[in-house]
Amino acid sequence: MNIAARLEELRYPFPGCRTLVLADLAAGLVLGTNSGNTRPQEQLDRLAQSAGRLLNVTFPSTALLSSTIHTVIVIEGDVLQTFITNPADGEVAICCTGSRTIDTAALATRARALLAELGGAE
Amino acid sequence: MTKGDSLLDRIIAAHLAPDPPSNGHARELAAADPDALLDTVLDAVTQTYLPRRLCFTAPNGTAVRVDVANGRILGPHLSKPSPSGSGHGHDQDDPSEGTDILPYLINLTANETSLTLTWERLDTTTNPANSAIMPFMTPASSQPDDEVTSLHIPAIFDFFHHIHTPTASLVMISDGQITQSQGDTAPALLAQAITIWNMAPVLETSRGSSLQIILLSSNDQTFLLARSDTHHLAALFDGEQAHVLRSKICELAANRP
Repeated sequence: MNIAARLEELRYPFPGCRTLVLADLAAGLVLGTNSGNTRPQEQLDRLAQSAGRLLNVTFPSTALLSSTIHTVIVIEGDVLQTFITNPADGEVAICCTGSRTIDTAALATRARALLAELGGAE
Repeated sequence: MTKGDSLLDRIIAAHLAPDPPSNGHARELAAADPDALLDTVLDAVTQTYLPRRLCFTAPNGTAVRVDVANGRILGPHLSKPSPSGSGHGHDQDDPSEGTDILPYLINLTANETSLTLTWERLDTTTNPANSAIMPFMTPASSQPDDEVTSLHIPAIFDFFHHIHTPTASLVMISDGQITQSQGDTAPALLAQAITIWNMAPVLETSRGSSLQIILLSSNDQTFLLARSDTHHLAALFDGEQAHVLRSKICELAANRP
């Protein structure tokens, strides 16, 4: 399975999405990427590491969150980053960076379908 | 907000009264009574509802841990040499190590981006000063220049508190003071918010931004965290609402007066 090609399929309907990264959350590693233009590896690594930190954040009190975080959206200025994982299988995530106008709900639905497919293919 | 006048700066400055730091941002701990002043500093830190134990990472990669609950610094750099002379103490989980700070000169500084702790032994000239930095907020930015960044956090607060879904818990800080607090879990919420702010990425925006919004969703709850130069807002919503809240924020920006 060509991960880059599948990521490109995922990115295509979202013109505001500049870069997609498939990340291993535990290791903070980039497993695959697709971008509209060349991105320094350091940027991709930072994206994967941010996904690992934010999706794996622990909560000292179950009064705050009783289940695992599966979606993170960060908006700053005109830039949006979102990190999406499957609640049932949180080992890998799809990270997106792009415009804050991205329909994150639609992207999350498609990203989770791809994550499920990739998980089943392993 | 003026440089060096961040939330943490104000809190620390308030708790270091009555003698304001000579440079406005720092206070040296004299070796004569470092425990008392350290307690004061830790009290100040505790007022921000930080976790019971903080971990600072020094530039050399060494972790320095502060046991906030017991007002002690843990970690190899702040331990006395072992009786055998073989080096520093190593049991970082031993609270008794906190009593070993006496030979050290400690300097705490806070600015808009970080809390910095530096220390050096007073009884030796061979041990250079060490330092640890705890990033606290994103760097101060240029003027807000688009719809989202021109939103003010009080407007977000009003929107979500009075118009949108009632929140399970909510805290807002304005100019270093907690101005709104709702729900039994508000202190825990703020502690968690600070943890998340510390690990959040600084996005490479094409234009300067003074507002960062972070949404985190699980199956049944959603965090909304917003911070600017002068305000911090943390709110906990029932339900998975990250995407809804993102849309609401953009809608709020579009409809702003």
